[in-house]
Order: sequence, then C-alpha cells, then structure tokens
Amino acid sequence: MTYDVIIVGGASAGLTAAIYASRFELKTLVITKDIGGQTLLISKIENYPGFKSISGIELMQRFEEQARKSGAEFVFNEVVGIKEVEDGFIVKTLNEDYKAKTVILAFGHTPKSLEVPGESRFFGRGLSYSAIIDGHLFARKNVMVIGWGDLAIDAALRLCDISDKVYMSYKSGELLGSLELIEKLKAKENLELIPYSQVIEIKGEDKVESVILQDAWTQKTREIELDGIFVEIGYMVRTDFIRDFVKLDIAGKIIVDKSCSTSRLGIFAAGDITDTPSKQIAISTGEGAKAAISAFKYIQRRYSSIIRAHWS
Amino acid sequence: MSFVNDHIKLLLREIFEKELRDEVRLVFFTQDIECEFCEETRELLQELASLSKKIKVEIHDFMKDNDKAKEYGIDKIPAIAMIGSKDYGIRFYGLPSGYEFPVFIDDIVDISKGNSRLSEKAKVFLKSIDKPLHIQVFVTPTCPYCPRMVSIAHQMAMASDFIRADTVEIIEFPHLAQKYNVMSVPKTVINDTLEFIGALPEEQFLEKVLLASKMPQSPIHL
Repeated sequence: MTYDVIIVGGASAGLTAAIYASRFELKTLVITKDIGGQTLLISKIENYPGFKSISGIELMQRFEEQARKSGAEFVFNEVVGIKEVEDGFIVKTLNEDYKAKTVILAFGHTPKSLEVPGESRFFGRGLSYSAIIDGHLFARKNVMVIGWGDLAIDAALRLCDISDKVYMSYKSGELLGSLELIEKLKAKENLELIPYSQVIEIKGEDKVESVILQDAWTQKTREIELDGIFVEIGYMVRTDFIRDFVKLDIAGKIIVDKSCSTSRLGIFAAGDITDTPSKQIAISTGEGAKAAISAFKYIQRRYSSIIRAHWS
Repeated sequence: MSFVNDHIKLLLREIFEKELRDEVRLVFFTQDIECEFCEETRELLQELASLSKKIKVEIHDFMKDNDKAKEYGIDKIPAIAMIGSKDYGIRFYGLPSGYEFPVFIDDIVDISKGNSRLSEKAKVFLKSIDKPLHIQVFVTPTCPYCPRMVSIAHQMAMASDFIRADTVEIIEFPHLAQKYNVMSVPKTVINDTLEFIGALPEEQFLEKVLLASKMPQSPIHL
C-alpha cells in the first residue's frame, strides 16, 4: 500500500502535520518511537496559545487525539533509512518498509551526549539524561550534574532536595540561566560548584563509581567518587542516517526553505530537526502545518490528483 | 481525602459506563498496620469502585491471607491483582499515580473487554509462547516515557496465558531498585534473565520477549 504522506516523528511538528495532512484527505501515516518526545518532560507550558497552563503530556495527547480523529494512522517504530524510488519514497523501519508519495521529517532532537569513555556503558547504570525522570532513584546518594544552562540548574535544584551531595561541573566560569534560580541554587548547602571543569572519563565496575574531571586552566585532573551522573547539556539532532539524502547544516540539522522543503524534491521537514531558529512548541506546530501544506501542494502538482481540502 | 477530583470522576464515570463489559475485580493486598502507600492505594481503589458497579475491590491482608497472596503470586505490598473474566496476569505494585494512573484506567477497560489492543501480528506471535514469562516494568510516577511500556507489557499478559506482567513503582520498593540495579526508568526485566532500559516500540518489545522466551529458564520469582 502507498500512503500519500509518511510523517516521521510524533511530537508538536509531526502531529500538527498529521492533523493537516489527514484533513486534506491525504492517506497519512505517522511513524514514531513515542508521542510527544521531549515535550513530555515539561510539567507546565504557559506560552502555548489557548491554554493558560497545560502539561506537556496533556498537550501532546490532545494533539495525538486530534490527529487520530482526523484519520491519521500511527506505527510505533524507529525509522532507520529512507530511499527514493520511481514513484515515491520507501521509509525503512527496524522491521518493515512503508511507501509514500512524500515524506515529512519531524523527529526532533534528543539529549546531547558527552562523548567520553564510559558514557554509553553506564547509561542506565548511574548515568542519566534526565533528573526529572531518574532523580528519585538517587535519594541519599552522591551525584553530579554536568551542564551550565537552565536544564542543568533545574536538575541540580531537584537533586539537592533528594540526594546527599550534589556536584555541578561545567566548562565555563559561570552558570547561565535565570538569576533567581541561580541564587536559589547557590544557597544550597549540599552543593559544590566546579566551574572550568570538563569530564574526561566515567569509571566503575558495573555501575558508575567515579568521574574524572580536568581543570581547564591547570589541566590537573580530579577523581570524584559518586553514584550518579546527570548529563544536562542540551539537545542534539540524530540525522546521520539521512546525511546523504538531504542537505544538513554543520550541526546536522536539516536545511529547509520558507515552505519547509528540503534539498530533495518531495521531502519536507519541520520542527526542531530543521535549521529554523527558536525551538518552541508554537513554532514547531506552525512549521508542521506549513510542511503538510507544502506536501499537499507537491502531491497535487506531481500526481495531478483531484484531492481537495475541506476548506478549499 | 479524595484522589480523583470531581471533574475526573465525571469523566471516569462516563468511560466506565460506556466501555466496561465484564466485572473487574481489583484484588488488593495490604496489612493491619498499613504500609506507607497502602492506605492511599486502598482509598484510590475504593474511590474507583464507587464510580462503577462493574468494578469491585477485594481487600486482603498480606500476612493473614497468605494463601490468597500465594494464589495471586503476590510477594510485596501494596499490590493489586487486576482480574477480569479470568486472571490475565496483570499486577500493579505501588500506588498507580502520576503518569501511571491513565494506564491503570486503560487496564481496567481492557480487562473488562477481555481484549488487548495489540496488533494482530503481535497477538498471533504471543499465542505461540508456551513457557512462563515474567515481565517486570520498573517505573516512577514522574516518568512520562514509562506508561507506554507498562501498557504494552500488560497487554502482552492479556494476549498470552503464559505471560505475567508486573508494574513496580520502584521508589516504593528500594530493595528491588538495589536488586535489579534500577538507575533509569523505564527498566524492564524479563524472567530475571534479560533486561533493558527505555521505552521501546511494540515490535521491539516483542523481539525482546521472543529472545527471553528462547533463553534458558531461570526460576521465576513470584
């Protein structure tokens, strides 16, 4: 079976594209690992129009419900490749291939990794990318937060209330975030800030036991014994598998034009995966809508179909 | 104290009225001097039962009704065995709160209907399993990626007579966090022989189950 549109990714951009595409009466399939992506971690969203305050998970569930009601189908799987064929595109997942006339890429970003020895080995064994999710498992333990921005400050604040001792290691000299939160953090008695430091190795037998930091000025190293490490250094995109398929910028983000078209005809992209500035839910939804409209127009032109939108 | 506000109660009443078919028994295990979350869990279950005639709560003392605990394979409290027209092997250990609450409601509906929402392919595959598999999903109430794993695991239990699926709110059971080295959630352990971290799509979860079913069996901890 050939779909009109396959949307890769199921968060703000992807779900909005799904709502638009299915309302255009395009046969729409969303392939995603989960619903909501990183938005799920936001407990309170207060800048999405129409809602004074709503949790990330609730907003995303509403998006999903609306997409399903409009007729979009969902498959929960990981996309591992896309290739162009004569009459469309083949989207490969871990165990099945799906075909569509056009594809919208909207799989967002994932937590950035440190790329140091020990990191992947200890993931889930003391190393975590979210204090919101895993913080409570480190009650009365010693932990370290890596990072200097809002995410890291928030993580350290949470952990100071849960854990015994909290270290915070960052490459710069100062933390970067809301002054109010930084003041609150600096007042915590069980916190030790380690500026100008860089993680060079994570050590342990079968779980995290210590971390080795290097001082940026003296190059001296210091080993700190601890039970948990929270890497909170922001996000990155994982676009390696489409590197030769569409043009990416230096950060790996998909380059799109104003209509959300990529360098390959018939492939569109929207949301945090693209080089569009400002990562906001309201922006991602707008971009998702735009990508769906562009995909619709592309199908009309290329396949000269008689599909008409409800409102056209 | 009320766990469910009036607005949610109204919604749940409607859902239960519309969706429930068979009676669902929530067999709850607690003890005389109730454990930290036992009281809350019991009150939550009683509140849910007050919203539909088709939901019944049965309360047992874990120590005194040891035979019952054995019958349902309960080894810690608070514990809820969710029983429909038969025992599908679905257990909840700990208070089903936070992100787990909606899954708990979905479970009640699924059990009442006696049908899982898995794909046909998954159901066919799960019917081929002929050895006992014990799936434990460790979660925390603040983990937004956990409910999907819980939901798939419980539906697998529904689709196979050989699968037993437990959800364990790990903060309430620190000794299990220690035993299974739970440092990230969701963490899933199958038969104590295979474990993985993170939320997997249905198909990948099925592959893990297939792998576990082919591994040499170790004693199942009930």
